[in-house]
Amino acid sequence: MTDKHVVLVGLGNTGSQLAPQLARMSDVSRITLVDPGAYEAANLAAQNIEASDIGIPKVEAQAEKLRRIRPDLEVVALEQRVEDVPRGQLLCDIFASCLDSKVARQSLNEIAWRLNTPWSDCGVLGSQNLVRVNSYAPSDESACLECAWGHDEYSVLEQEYVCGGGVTSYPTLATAALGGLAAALMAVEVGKLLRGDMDCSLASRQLVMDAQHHKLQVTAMRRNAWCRFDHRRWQIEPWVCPPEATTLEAALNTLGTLQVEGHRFASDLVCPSCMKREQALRLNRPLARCGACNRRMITTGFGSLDRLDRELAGEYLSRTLAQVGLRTGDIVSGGNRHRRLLEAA
Amino acid sequence: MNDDELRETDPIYESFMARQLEEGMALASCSDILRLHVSPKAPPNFVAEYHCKGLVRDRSGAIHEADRFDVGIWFPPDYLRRADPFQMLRIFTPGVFHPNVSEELPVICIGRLTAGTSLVDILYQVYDILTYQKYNPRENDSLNRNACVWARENQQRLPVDKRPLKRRPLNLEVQSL
Repeated sequence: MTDKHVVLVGLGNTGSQLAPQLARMSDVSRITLVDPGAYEAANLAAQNIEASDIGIPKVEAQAEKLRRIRPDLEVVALEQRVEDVPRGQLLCDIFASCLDSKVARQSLNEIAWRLNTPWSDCGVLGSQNLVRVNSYAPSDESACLECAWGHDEYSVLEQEYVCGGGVTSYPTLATAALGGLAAALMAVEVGKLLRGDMDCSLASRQLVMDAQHHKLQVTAMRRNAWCRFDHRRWQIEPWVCPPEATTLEAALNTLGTLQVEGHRFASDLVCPSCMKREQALRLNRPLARCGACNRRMITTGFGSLDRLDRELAGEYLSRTLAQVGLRTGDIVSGGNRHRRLLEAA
Repeated sequence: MNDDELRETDPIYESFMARQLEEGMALASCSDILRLHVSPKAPPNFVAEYHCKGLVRDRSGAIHEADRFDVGIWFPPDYLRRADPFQMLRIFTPGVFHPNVSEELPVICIGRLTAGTSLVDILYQVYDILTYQKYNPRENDSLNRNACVWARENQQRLPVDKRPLKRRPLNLEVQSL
């Protein structure tokens, strides 16, 4: 059992303390770190960083530490939101989620299920000294994150809108000790999942540790027949199709229609802040930002397309896939076949 | 999985949409203000025709009342899991003068929208906005700052239409002679 690849998403309080523990697992040979942020002075109190890390992207700071711990470890640093990473770059043995956003967790749940990969998730609640660890192992019967969600969970998903508000975030206010506790439990759990020890793992279960009152609770989760997530898993084929060198027309000739999983094509992007408008066919990755004010651009009503065909691509047929926003590792589909874009065989 | 495939194969989305159609049509049948049209091919799924008073600004800059507003409502395939109000709504009537409606773009902002919010709730929220029963008073995050200023200075004129969207039955007590 060697050569395992773990993708660690989120490098805040828990993630920064989990990363070195993962690096010390002898069967892990590759770690991919995913986080769009940089460390701030305020993070010194609760996160596993030093003063010299302030201002540095979290993935870079942690990658450097992991290489110092284990020079033979392959570390990939992706300074992006997990939602924006081409799904094929996330193919791994297990996802470890240390996220503080429900929307990002929801996206990771979807990604893990599509890639048929187990994932473990943790959370902390500083005000009550609570630590939570869940695991999910995609199968026909197992529960996913959203199986336990009702209307209340969906109503508190972070949302970006212009009038009267914006993104709402919920700080966990957790100490480094609580984050460390969650990281330790996560490390044990990741170890079990990597060994395939599913019976002893928390797959379809939730562990809550109440450090305030010294209580431990394990809850089983069941597949919800009315879950809003469709639980589909992909069979992914490799496809040598360098995005820089393949035109939309060539891709459409092969696929018939083109859809990039996890994204939509936008024909009309607008900056909600300065109202700058951009009319060009491109994949609406959330990272598409306004050139003038750097705010995330949005698609105005009905300006987005789930899939392209020759007619919809129209004047953009001669553009390369890269020019319309595709990247190596994106999973594309035409019909029910899913293919991972590769630069070379 | 594309839009059409998902619609054909996702029973939860299917039943949700069927319910929205039923409830939306029921509301329209009980309203003197709302007409609801269903588009056979998305987007949009629905076009809501509001026969109510609202404000528009013409090319000369004059603000006056109008009595019809058309709004498109699209429910994307993943609407039950995540909602993006900007993608879902489009105002077809040009020149609407309101803090929550852009003058440059066909965009209407109804604020926070929870995934899976019903069509009827959205229809009510849009109506409240068009008639100034609800508006964003803060200029710094408004889609139309001029309308924000105007609304603050003309509060006595608001809302511009006070009628309920749904016709209310008369509660008359009939006494025998």
